[in-house]
Amino acid sequence: MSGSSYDKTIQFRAGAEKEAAELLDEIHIGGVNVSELARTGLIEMLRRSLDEQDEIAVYERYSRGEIDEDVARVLLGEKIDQMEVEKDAFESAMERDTSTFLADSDGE
Amino acid sequence: MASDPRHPLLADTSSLIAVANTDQWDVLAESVALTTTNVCKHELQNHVNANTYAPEGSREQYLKRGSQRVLDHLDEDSSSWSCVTVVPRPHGPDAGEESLKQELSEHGDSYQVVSLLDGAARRSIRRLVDDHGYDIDVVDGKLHR
Repeated sequence: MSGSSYDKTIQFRAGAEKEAAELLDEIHIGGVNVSELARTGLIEMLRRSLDEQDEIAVYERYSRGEIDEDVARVLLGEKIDQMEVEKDAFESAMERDTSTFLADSDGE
Repeated sequence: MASDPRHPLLADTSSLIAVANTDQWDVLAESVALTTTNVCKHELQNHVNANTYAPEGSREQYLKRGSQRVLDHLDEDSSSWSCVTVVPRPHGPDAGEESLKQELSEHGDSYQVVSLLDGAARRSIRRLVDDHGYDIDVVDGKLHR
């Protein structure tokens, strides 16, 4: 795990959205944690924005060690484990004696 | 047909169609030996017979063209591709996947690699492989490129 701490901020322009957040914070019992909502919402929307090609690109960067696991997990979630399994299965298949998959070697 | 050999590579309908649509189709068809099931073959036949308009570049055309290529190759006498009959024959939308499971349950020792395009189907078949203690890799058919 990397040391990505929560000391970084994202700023974005908001008008009615900011007022709506402040309004809900005011009227909702106990208030709302806008930062937490924004983090959760951002993760969800980032994942929704990811297409299959993006997923592969993120996974490849992760497996080359170019990005940290927690960053990859924000984008891929549990898929990161599934992709690991797929990669292992494929590599394991490649390590087999591939001549057995060829038409000519079909002796027995 | 009933005595078709079992090759170490078992492939489902979608992965066969994917292979048939690659640039290396001719080479792969001639050089690779693989096995599929009668149920998958039937699914291929359904794609070919589908009475849908299949314009150039559409998914329908992809399925139709791929399925036709695979069927033609399976039916060639000299083909190194084989088709095994699964009994009782599964039905429904997952019939192809089910037929692979049935085949693996009975003849898992004949196979080394199973190729499927659907991720959920791969996970399900991996469980079956683990439960039986088979030495089989379940891979994504698209990665054959």
